[in-house]
Amino acid sequence: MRGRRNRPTDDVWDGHGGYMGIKKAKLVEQFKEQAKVEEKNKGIFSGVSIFVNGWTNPSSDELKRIMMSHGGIYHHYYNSHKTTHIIASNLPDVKLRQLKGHELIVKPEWITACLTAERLVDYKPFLLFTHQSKSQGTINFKPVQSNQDSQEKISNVSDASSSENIEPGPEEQKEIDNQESIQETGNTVDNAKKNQSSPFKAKDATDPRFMGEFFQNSRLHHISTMGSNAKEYVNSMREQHDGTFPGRENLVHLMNSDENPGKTIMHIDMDCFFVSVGLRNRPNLVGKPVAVAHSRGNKPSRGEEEDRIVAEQRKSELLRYKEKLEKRTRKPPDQGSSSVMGSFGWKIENIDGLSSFSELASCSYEAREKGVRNGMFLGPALKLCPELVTIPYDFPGYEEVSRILYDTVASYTLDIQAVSCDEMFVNLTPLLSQLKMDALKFVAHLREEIRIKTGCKCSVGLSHNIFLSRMATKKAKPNGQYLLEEAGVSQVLRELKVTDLPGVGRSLQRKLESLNISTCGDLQKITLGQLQAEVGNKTGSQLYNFCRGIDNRKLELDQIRKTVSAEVNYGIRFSGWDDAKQFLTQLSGEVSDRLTKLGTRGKCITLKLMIRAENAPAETAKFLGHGVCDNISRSIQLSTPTADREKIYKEIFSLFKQTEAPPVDIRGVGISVSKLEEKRTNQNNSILKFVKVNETVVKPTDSAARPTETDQSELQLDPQVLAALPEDIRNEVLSEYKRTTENYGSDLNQPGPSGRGMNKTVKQEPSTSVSLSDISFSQIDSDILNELPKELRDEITTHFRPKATEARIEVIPGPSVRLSPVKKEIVTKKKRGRPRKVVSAPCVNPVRSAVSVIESDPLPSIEENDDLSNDCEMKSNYDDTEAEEISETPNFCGSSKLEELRPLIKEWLASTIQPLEEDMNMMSTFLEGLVSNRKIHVVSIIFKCFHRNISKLSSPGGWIRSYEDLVKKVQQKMVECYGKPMHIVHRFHKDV
Amino acid sequence: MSIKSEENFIKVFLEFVEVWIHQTVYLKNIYPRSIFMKKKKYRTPVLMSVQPWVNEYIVKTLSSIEDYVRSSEPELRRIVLVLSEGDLVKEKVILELDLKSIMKNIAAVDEYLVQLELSFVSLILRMNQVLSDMKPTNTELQWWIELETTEMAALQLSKSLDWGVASSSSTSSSTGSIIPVMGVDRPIKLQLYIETFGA
Repeated sequence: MRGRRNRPTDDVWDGHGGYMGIKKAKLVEQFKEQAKVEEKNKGIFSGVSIFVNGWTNPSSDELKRIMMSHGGIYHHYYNSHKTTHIIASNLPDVKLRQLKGHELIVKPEWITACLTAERLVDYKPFLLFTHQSKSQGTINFKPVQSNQDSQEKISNVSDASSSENIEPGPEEQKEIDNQESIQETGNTVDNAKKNQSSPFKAKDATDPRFMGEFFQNSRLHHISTMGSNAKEYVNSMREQHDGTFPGRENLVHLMNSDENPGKTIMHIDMDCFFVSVGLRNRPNLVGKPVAVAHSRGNKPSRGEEEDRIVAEQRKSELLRYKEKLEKRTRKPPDQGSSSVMGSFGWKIENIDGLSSFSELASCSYEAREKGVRNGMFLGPALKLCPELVTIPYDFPGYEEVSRILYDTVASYTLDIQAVSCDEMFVNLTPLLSQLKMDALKFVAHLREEIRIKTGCKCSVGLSHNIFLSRMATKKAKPNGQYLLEEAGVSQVLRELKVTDLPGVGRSLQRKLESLNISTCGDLQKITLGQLQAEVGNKTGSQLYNFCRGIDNRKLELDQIRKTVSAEVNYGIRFSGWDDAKQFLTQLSGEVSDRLTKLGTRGKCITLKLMIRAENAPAETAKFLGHGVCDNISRSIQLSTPTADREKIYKEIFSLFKQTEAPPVDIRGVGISVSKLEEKRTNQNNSILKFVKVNETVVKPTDSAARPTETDQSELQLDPQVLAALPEDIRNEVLSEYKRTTENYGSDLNQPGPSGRGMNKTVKQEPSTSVSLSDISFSQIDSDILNELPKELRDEITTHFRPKATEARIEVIPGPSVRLSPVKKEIVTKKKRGRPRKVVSAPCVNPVRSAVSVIESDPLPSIEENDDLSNDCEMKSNYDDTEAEEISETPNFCGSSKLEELRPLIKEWLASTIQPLEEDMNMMSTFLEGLVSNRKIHVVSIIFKCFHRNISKLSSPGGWIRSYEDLVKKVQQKMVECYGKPMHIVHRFHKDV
Repeated sequence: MSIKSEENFIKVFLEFVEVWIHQTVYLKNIYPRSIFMKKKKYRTPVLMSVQPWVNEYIVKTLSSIEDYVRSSEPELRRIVLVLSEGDLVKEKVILELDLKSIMKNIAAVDEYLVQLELSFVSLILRMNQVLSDMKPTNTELQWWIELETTEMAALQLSKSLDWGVASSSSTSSSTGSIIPVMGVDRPIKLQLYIETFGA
């Protein structure tokens, strides 16, 4: 057979598509078909393809059947790309010479050993020829991809806690881990396993199936998803909760404590979560040093020379990362190196050419005793603790345990702030005081319950705030509980290292080190000002408080998801725009799916790119990895929230084009959508309600306030509004209303509509009747009034009663009515507001107008109401970014649209003889803003509107002067911006 | 999708510029009315020249602009139709835009170009109104197109047509005034105004 293979042949016989090719393909198909029929006892040989060469025991036919029934593949003909193992018990020299040097020739006993062990055992003891690389001389040795696949697959599927090093040269695998841990940007670099559909070819991002599999297998994706799932889960539990806590019934025997424990925050953290979960099914490993990692150990030596070369390569790779780190911290390399190395030096010491770069996600306490730490590379860890056993990830298990943990705690209380899948803060204060329990007894009970239910241990810290409870947990670990009482706080803190404080990472540590601070005791000596000057205001005050044990944060019970994103930094190799487009479409689809799943939509779309750094090689050391990269991100704000994949793709693609990054150099792509709309509309929308209610109230005044319609007595009172009023007020309004018909017009000579004047007067100058013009009692929403604290309510009603007369006058249409007719609530109130800050509204939606209303709400009382003002603060923050966006468009009294401005101007003109200077200034600023925004057509229309209306006035003297001033100012601006004045009509026929 | 829509946009936009030039030239009474034919654009009757020489100038100018707009990162601030009487510049009809930002965003909004069409209609109509309100000039007028852009752009533009440095830019005088015609914000930012010279 083999002889024929190597013979020079004509195409018909052996070439591509020739007889042999077809035959081989047919045999593989046949084998597969038969394998389907066989019962699937899959697992141990999946990913393994064997070729039997010569006589074996068990015979080749038996081996074929074994492979069939255990998920392996049997090749009738050797294929150097596909066959992973050659099975032979003896090979003659002739056959040996045909080998290329990288084949694995294994004795058939390996198969039987695997069968008896029911897993894939290490083939090394069964190698027919060992050290072949030496005997074969140097060969251009390229690792076979399929080997890596099979190895990964095994780690995935089989329970292969002790199957070591099946791979002949899994260099890529190691490199993956290497990058994963050194790269500190927090981006997800994941092992995408590409085995399911085509076990022999590594997929990269150009493969349409890549994305699904990537996320299916990505470790960090799972971890972060579990964290946010936990948060969502707590939220949903809280929503669906019926008010009973079944767990509390079991606590009866604990209810004996009389003392009031005061505020108690509990911090629960599972002990080495991943390991404990993994050990549930591996009781034989309990008590041994265990770690969770992808890799199983160091790779076998390939001879001194090669080891040295690999070590060199790694060193240079590490150096490149180091350079980058230094660049980022802006330190000259010679000074920076020591501290940079210091901070993650423990990670890379003890590394030689063979060390595994797989990162330990979690390690047991037995391992920690030997100096092994979470996040360490496996290689150095094995040096510290040679008997360390690694176990694979078990994502479903983590999720299951996490769910049980949350259910258990939720059976007692729902004051839970989920931190991650295995960590949470719980406010025990209400629970303890209700049930009169001792905190420590309760915690002991809880921990026991968790241990029984999950089989995993947890540690609990208790204290009176979040920060201290977390510190207490540190003391409690492992498998313990610790109550940090106020008396002990200072003692504990003094010795605490700054690195243990939340929020202190490498860069902050370095900064603090430069200030000679290593413990909280040192930190306490520094003043707040100094600290803030060094590390920034927010971090400074946080550190200042933490090191004194102060933490005013409240539990964030209702954690709302802020962004939804998807990121892929592995396997990205675009050959051109088409690949990139296809991938972006997919990734957009992924994000859109996630948004849809969460039932939310977002407004801000961000594209993150990792682009190959200039000096980085085109092909990374890590197989399909991203290598050294520059990170950039671009984002765009949409006017309306979206979850539509097409829309997202459109935005993302245009952002992608903007970056002008060549597709070939893209190594990582991420899409995130933020500014999510609030999912639960029934919450936190008090302002919306407020506005809606007000709008209905406003309408009547709207029609009522039209200056021309003088006599429409009854129409001016909206029956709806009247109906909504409490009865006594209604009567009062009605009676006042009748009286005022005689009085209106009495304030003709009142000063003009100075916005500022108006709002002050409501409270401070009650004598000025004008002040109430814009709030008639009917406009005050009775619901809101009722919700106000009693003092405020009284204040409002007393304010209104004595002046009800004047107030009524103002509402009545007639020459005296001074203010904006349309949407009285909104426009009028904005009048005194800072016009440039108010969000102008190209498309006014309720929320936005709500902001402006509240911001400059005329009801003095409302500003004093805590709840409301908090709400509006929150709301306006929510809109802040939007405001920034739109604020470029100047606006007058919140309106920049002509259709809003025209009636406003008319109204203004009709209301007074002589406009206040302040108002005119506001107008001129607005117009000047328009000019510099190059919107002169609007300016010209406004001037025309002024002109026309002023001409109509009976005594326009005052207005004409103001108008001319205005023209002068704007023309100056025009000359500034356009080099010429605008064509403005400024002659008045009636001008005297 | 977006490349196609960009393509479409460029076509549609340049068509508008063409219509705008024809219509302005018509309204300014530069040529005898007989060389203009009524055509329907954007559901509005407009008058477009059928005189080959006039058209040649317009077409050549526009195709040069088109070539440039299709290049990467086109930058164009103003398209100016200059009207002069002998050596004296009388008026400039200015179409102000920021092509760079338009090209960035066009894919995102107004997929079916509905808004765009509407804004073109109103621009044209409003221009008709303003131009016919202005004092008619009885003297012989000359006209040409100027672009305000970057030096880079000038180089690129010159590939397809010999563009020179605009002489009228130096003759800016502070006399005269600006007559705003109209501005559009969505889907693209456009502003049309007229600068007059002399009293």
